[in-house]
Amino acid sequence: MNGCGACLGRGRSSAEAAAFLLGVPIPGRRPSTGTMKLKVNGESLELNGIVTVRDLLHSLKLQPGRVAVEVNLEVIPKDRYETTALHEGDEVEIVSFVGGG
Amino acid sequence: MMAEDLPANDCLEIAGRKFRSRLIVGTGKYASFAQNRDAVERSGAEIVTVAVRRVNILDPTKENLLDYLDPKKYTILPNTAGCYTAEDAIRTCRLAREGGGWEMVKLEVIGDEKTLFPDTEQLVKAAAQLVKEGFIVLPYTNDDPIVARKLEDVGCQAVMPLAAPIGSGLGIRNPYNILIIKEQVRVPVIVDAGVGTASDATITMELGADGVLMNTAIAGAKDPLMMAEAMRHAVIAGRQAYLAGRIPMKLYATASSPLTGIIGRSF
Repeated sequence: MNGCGACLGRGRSSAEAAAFLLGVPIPGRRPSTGTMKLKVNGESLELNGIVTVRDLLHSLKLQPGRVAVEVNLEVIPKDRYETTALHEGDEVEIVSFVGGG
Repeated sequence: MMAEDLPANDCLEIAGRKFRSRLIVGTGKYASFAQNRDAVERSGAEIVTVAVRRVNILDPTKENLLDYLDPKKYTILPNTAGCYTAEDAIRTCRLAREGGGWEMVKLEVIGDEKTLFPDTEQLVKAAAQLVKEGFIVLPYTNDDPIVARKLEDVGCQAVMPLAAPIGSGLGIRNPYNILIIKEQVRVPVIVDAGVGTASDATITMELGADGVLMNTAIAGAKDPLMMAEAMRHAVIAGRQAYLAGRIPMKLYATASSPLTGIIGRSF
């Protein structure tokens, strides 16, 4: 599961798509000033200035190394947090490890 | 590690990885992370299970279980506890692999809230898919030899039949089925769930099981640390007894002391 196939072509230019595929930061994208509605762990959130998965983790004060992230059922590899853009209405799951048997 | 009284080559081998301890312990229900860490240490276990759960996004706590259980020291075995469908279990495993980089998973697909018995149809389906995706799959299953065989057939690297319902502490309800499963599959048989006290673990090992997985029996004991150590001894004792080979059972007595030279006898 590389997590990128389903996101391609949604509001991206071909240059952005290519950058995304190569796993490099998308040039020219600035944090949006508007708000974005996301569903995170079942909670509806309205967040400011979120562009990528990394931004989301940062705004939630979560350490990227300690969690795993799924966007619209696709697991996002850690090395793609910075290049995976989030979109209005995305459903995000963020999990970590807890005690269990 | 702790099994110094067993032959050096006696290992629990899962997918080519060798473990000296045949005891796998869970990390749920402890009073604190520190108590959990100390119990794991005293159990001698080398594999510990963990659960995968949503982080609390409104209040991300600073302390983390893995601050106490070093993944470099222990093999972390994420579970899919709480999943009721193959799809959810598969998603959970994919997240666990990305989150921790671990390919070995304890696959659970629960079929019923009250008994926590597995939904074996969904279990086999999930196991087949996860094996295709490169996971080392250790499925929690019921004590059904046919299902155990199906799980092996789809590529599971061990089968983990229950002794009794999770957290029940009833011990092995059907030892004969565990024996049949052990006879019918080639992958390790790890009895998972239902152990209540040390003797249950010993009996499990005496039957020839390759390992035992437990959580509540230790975490729920009045003194979890002492019980952890009791379980370490119990698993080693059971394994030793299995390797040593028990005597056959007989209906009548056979004297242990010489039958000749007894005083007051005329013969």
